[in-house]
Amino acid sequence: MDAMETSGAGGVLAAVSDELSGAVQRAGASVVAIHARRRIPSSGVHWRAGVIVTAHHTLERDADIRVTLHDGRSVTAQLAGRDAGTDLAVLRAPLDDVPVAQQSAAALAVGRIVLALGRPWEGDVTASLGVISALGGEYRTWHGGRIDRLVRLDISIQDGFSGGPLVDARGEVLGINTSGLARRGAVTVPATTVDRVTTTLLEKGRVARGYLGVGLQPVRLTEALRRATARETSIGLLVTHVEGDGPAERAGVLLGDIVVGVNGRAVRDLRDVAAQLGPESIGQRVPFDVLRGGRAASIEIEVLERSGGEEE
Amino acid sequence: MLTERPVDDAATKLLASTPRLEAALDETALRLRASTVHVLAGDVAGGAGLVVEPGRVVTNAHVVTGSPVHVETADGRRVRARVERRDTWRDLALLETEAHDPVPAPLGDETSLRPGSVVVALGHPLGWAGALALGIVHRVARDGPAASVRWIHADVRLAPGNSGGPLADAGGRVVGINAMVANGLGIAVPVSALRRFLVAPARRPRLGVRMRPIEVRVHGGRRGIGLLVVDTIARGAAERAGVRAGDVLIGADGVRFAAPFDLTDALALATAATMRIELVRNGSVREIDAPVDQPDPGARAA
Repeated sequence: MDAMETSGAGGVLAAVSDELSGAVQRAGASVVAIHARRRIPSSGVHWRAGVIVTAHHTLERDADIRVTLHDGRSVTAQLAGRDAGTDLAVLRAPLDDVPVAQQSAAALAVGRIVLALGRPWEGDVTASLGVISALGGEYRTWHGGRIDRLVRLDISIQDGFSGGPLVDARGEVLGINTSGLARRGAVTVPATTVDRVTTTLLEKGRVARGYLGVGLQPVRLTEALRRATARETSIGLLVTHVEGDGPAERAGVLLGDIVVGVNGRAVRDLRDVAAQLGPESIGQRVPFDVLRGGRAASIEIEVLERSGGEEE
Repeated sequence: MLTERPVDDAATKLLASTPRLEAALDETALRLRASTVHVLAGDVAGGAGLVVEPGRVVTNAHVVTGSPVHVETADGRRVRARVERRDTWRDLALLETEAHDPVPAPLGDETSLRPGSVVVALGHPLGWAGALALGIVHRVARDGPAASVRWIHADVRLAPGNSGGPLADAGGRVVGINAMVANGLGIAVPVSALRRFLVAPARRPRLGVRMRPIEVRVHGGRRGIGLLVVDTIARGAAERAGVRAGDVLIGADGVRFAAPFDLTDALALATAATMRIELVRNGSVREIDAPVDQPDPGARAA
């Protein structure tokens, strides 16, 4: 039998292999290891000159962040800002000889062959192969961040997955991967969202989000309550906690109120509320439709800005 | 509305030529299947084995813990096999069989692999005889003090029954022996370790030390591998020569260690009655001439 590499059929496989490993090598030069947590480092991408993007949830500290580059050098990075909403964080570091990641001009498409890269160990780049398994439109994450498109992957999550790039078979970047935005499975924050959040974080250090000072929990509405609201809804958000001197308390929100609408839109879960508390809501008097004592009422809450990295 | 540009990258185009790709995979599977046997130990349908020479089969040491050992060829014949040698550290075992007709597999070179290189695995996952799995290299193997870096990590779906079977590159050459699955990754012994295992004499001389690899930098020089002596075996060669726990062995017979296996390899090749060991003690380098003992068969310590 002929040696396999000389046969036409084997050549196709070898060509695919060269194509994929070449893509990993090209893209891998922009992938760095981020040391800001115990045990295994996370990954980051040289997104703009001197600017690294990584996954917010992998940074356990704001200072003393070390970055290992593709050539084994180690540099210290400064945190420029982080956003729990989109699970992105931005670092500044001297990255003179590190190429900036090349963004893909091609569209996202289901079935597209993609590679998730990481650099979880000093030195070695890692690669996982899969496809984009589902695409959706704009959505709100459970922390209220706005992401331009839902990108789900058929790729197993390995060490260093979060903060690493999703690249196409040419090695061009489609977005930043994270395991922090979905309970199961892998999600990619698309490059357009990464660009937008990076710009905001570099300018302001954070993505402003509105703050109400309430704890809410979804509850099923009884038939009587459903009749009391004018809405076609069977779920409301029960106020389980009111922060002392917070915006909600000052507006007169009481424990036991059930929120059924914000800004005239029905709300069925915390994400629906978060969607109304973007940067534009801060300082505004936002109308809330509530059920109190079995009757519908409306309350205007003056939304403040959420400070620091507080979660819902 | 988003205007979507058609997918036009080269790999997608190549994969789109599926009949040719399928033919390539089919051919690769056929060739690997001809060199792969089913290994059964005792009552357990253990795993796979790779024919490396007529009548000689390599598998994982953990596959052949029971007895008797049989191999079953692709055409369904079952013959007795004898465990000739095993290395539990590297999880390799060499079997001798009477089945001489399976074709030895071509061995490749794992240093040609890069992350993203296409690999295929052949074995008997969950009893599926001769099943092919396609994936890529997740992380390359290299020499280093951490045990995890000395294995090939492959993003390929394996299952019990793949153990001992080949991991091959896009040209169908064997680059590793699949040994385990960790967090969904296939983990394989690199073929270079297989080659060392195949040439090592069955009865390997030993020093009588227990060691663990560490990273060292001698006098500000390049990073290298040191072997920290954890314990010496009473009246063993090393103890008689004055090697003590806490010494760090850094070379043998004038060659500095670059990999954790280098001492084992040096011992395997040693023909003289003594070996000159270079070691670090109290921060200074010294040399000790140690006698080389001929050991018990199957001993694990170097």
